[in-house]
Amino acid sequence: IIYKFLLPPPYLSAADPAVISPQDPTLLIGSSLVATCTVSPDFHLKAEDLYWTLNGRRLPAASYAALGPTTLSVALAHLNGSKQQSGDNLVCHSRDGGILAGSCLYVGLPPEKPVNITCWSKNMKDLTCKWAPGTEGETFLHTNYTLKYKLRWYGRDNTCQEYHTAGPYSCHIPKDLALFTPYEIWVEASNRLGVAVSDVVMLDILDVVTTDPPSDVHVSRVGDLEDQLSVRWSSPPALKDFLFQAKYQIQYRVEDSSEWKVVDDVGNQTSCRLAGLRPGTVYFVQVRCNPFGIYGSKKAGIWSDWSNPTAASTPRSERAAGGCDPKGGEQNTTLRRELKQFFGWVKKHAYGCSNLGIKLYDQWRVWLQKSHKTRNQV
Amino acid sequence: GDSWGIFTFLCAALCNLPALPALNCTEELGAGQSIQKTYDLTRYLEHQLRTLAGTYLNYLGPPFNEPDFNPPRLARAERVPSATVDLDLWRGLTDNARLAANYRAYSRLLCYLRALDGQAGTAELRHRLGHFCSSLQGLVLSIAGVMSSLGYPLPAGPAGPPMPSGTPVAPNDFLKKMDDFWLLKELQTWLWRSAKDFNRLKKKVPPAVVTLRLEARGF
Repeated sequence: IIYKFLLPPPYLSAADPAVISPQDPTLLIGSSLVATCTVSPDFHLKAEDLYWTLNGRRLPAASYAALGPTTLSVALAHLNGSKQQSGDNLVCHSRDGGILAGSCLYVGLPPEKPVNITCWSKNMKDLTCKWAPGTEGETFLHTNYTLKYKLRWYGRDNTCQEYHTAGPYSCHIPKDLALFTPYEIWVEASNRLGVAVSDVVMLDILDVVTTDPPSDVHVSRVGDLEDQLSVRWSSPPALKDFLFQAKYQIQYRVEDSSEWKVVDDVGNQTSCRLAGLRPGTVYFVQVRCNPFGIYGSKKAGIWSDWSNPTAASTPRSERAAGGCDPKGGEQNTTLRRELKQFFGWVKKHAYGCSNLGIKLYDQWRVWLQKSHKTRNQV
Repeated sequence: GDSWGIFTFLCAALCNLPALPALNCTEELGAGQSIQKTYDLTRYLEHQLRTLAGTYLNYLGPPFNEPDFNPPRLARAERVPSATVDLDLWRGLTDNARLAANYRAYSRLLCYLRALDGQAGTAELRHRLGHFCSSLQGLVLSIAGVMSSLGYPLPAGPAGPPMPSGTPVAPNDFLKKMDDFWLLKELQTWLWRSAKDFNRLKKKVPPAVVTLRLEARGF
């Protein structure tokens, strides 16, 4: 009597129809396996009534062998890495296609040492670390990563609990961190085939401090100046609690470009003026902060994220383009701009020469054109 | 608006008549809306499940993700409540029984779904599963809301009847995959059935209450 699986009732008896051995084995890539399927006597099936599939594909009968009246084996050689991390599905079927039993094969490689452990602390309150898996290729098996840390010279190992906070290979330690004593940090990778431990990284929390981006970033025009914008910001509030100085960096770009220009030497101020900009253009500006000189050290920390971009536009030039200007018209506009800036500076810093101004330059140019015409007319 | 004013007046008048049972009119209207909301939720979940099941079955690998896959259903799999029911039996269900069956089923299904291996699979799969569980939890609460607004008691315990202590966890990984397959199948069947359950309930809520729409103004 062959039990038909295609018809209801939907439930089989409580006994398993067959047993596969080995059940759910773990194997190294390239290894071979002989699996057996033994049918329960209640099912009145014989070895020749059975066949095997692997991941839905029927295995060739040439690889089968009857080891007994109710036991059929199959030989698998040079196994490839598992098709899915949940394991390859090796199934023993009865002749009509019904499933009698199955076994999940886990074929892969042991993990490699995780590498490139980098960590940072936000305002000395926590520690986040990320790393890269050692294997360039795949292990084919699910790999678990555990970040561990301990204070140097103190015994206890601690395990990080909050994973995936900054990408798939990261972990966050939210509290109970000590300063002034270095930590030893390492990552253990484990899968069904083994364990691999990364090299130990030693660091002092104070050396990897970062902070929030500056807040209240405002970008505004500088009067009528077409080529300048003024940027102002507040230092991140967390810095107030600590003896940090801060260094800042500004980056800006034109609206429709992806190229950022960086202003590096901003130092400790909370304002800066951008010059040499294009008139009548929208600019996006971002500022970031580096907590520098923690507790008096000369070391820099880690740059914060950039603040959200703030947009502002330079005033549009009032002068109409071209007309009588000779070929070098473009150059003259740049020159004129620079002269204007210069005169502005002169007014501020030099006393006397108060009649010097861009208006004087304009008058001179007009005079120059007139005299040029008259000269040509002659 | 004004139609509300008239409606509540009518309710108050009716409620004050000694012969009639006290009607909580706003609750009746609430039930109608809750039923609609629950119906909509089942349709939404059905849609979500299609993607989730596709991803999960691909994770289990062939033959689980093959369209004609139809494994035997072992008796041990009875822990998942079945949506399949005799047609006459289904038609004859009281509103209370109908709602209670849905409530119990989804509470159980939610438990099993949450227990699906949290470690394994890609981050994307875990994320989808988490999202689906939240939506399913919403459905359970929605059904509870309908039941309470109609004055029915919730079935005992948050997960309905306790799971029989004899139910084993799958003894091997392959059987666990089969359990997972049947869990998703049963979830799918329940969502199909619930849409019909709630459609039926929608029609049974008194139309006079749901469609009351008075144009008279200046009351």
